[in-house]
Amino acid sequence: MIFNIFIFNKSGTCIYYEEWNRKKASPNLQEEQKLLFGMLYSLKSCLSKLSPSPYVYLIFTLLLHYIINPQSNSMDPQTGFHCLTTSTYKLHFYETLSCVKFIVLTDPKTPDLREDLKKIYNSAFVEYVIKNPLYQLNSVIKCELFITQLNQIIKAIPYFNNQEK
Amino acid sequence: MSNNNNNNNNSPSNDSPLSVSSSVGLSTPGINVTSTSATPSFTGITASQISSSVGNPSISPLASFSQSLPTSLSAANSPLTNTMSSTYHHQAISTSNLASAINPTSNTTASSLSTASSALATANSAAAPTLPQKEISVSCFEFLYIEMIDYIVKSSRDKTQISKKLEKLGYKVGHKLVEKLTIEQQLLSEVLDVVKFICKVFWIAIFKKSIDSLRTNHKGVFVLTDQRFQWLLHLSFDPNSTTKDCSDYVYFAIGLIKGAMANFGYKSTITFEIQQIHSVVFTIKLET
Repeated sequence: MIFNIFIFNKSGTCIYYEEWNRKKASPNLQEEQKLLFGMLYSLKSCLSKLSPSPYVYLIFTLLLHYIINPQSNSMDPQTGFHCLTTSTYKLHFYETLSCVKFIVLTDPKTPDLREDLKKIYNSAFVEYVIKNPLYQLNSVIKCELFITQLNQIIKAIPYFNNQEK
Repeated sequence: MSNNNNNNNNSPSNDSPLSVSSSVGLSTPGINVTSTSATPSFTGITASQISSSVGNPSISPLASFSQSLPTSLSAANSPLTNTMSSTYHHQAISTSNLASAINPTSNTTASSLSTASSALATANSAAAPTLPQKEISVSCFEFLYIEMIDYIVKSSRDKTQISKKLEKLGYKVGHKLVEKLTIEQQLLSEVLDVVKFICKVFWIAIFKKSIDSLRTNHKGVFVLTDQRFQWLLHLSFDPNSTTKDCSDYVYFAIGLIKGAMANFGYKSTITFEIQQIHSVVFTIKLET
């Protein structure tokens, strides 16, 4: 089950948020977005600061990932931090080279959604936000075509609305 | 020059009085026009007829292998759907016996060549020496286009000044582009041929697709429809916003057509209308 999506730009502003199956409404959405970005930001910087060499950074992220989610076996050493699992939800994380962060929260049983996040970046974000003449850089995304396209991709994921057992 | 901007899905105001009869070709010009009728009747000219009678540009690299066979050109070059292409094929076959003899061989050579692209290139250049294809990135151009319009909008006082400036820019580009595109073009004797040239060769050179439909009343009014206008494809509005105006992104194209027509010696007034979001209808009126 997919709960919600966050898109953060380089400076940490949440430029897009949408939720689907979320049962508990957030008491303070802006606070939640700030906390999430802060958590990811410090996690990344902490890991790279601890690292004695540039290569160990990746290994640290992998170790962290294994500690949090020992069942996962779909690891790609090139991309580092994929997801974070707790008992009630799983946070999928994809960061582009231009530092745009795509975050999707799902239930913990959902497998890796990295490819879908990449697809959102490629065929929705770039096509209908970046190429949209009316979009102001770093502003909140309100483009109609992007929203339709994003919903199409998210709802096509087989785990979109499966009920928890 | 009056520009008719209509972003709602209303039916076009200048379209309703025109009765459209389907697929009456060039061979019978003006057959539907009676001298007494108050509303001019339009004869429909389908894209296939445009393509079959107007010259052969070298277009998409995918289709370039069939350039040596002019009879199959209209089908191979068409960026339209497969069903449309197949009708082109039928037409080509029926018009010429030679075509039916050549077409199958062209298809087989094409399929055998498509596996080796280097062989394809040599075969192509040996068969028909054409101008080399120069290509630029679509995204790169579109970003430049967006910035150009942004700059002009910011440096203008009002809407009419924006449209005038953009049209002027497009006029010059269209004028010069025609010089380049007509190098291998045969003589265009009638104004309809000129408009067909714009629909096919000119539009493909700019957008890699032809105009989707062309209608005319044979009295100097031409209605051109592009159902997927490239410069509006990625554009979308805030669903909550009240002003939904994207006409700034079409004025340049108006200028392009105007410049092209002017270079052929026809003075024209052009209006346009944006239907749905990507579909643009251009109406060319010749000035006498």
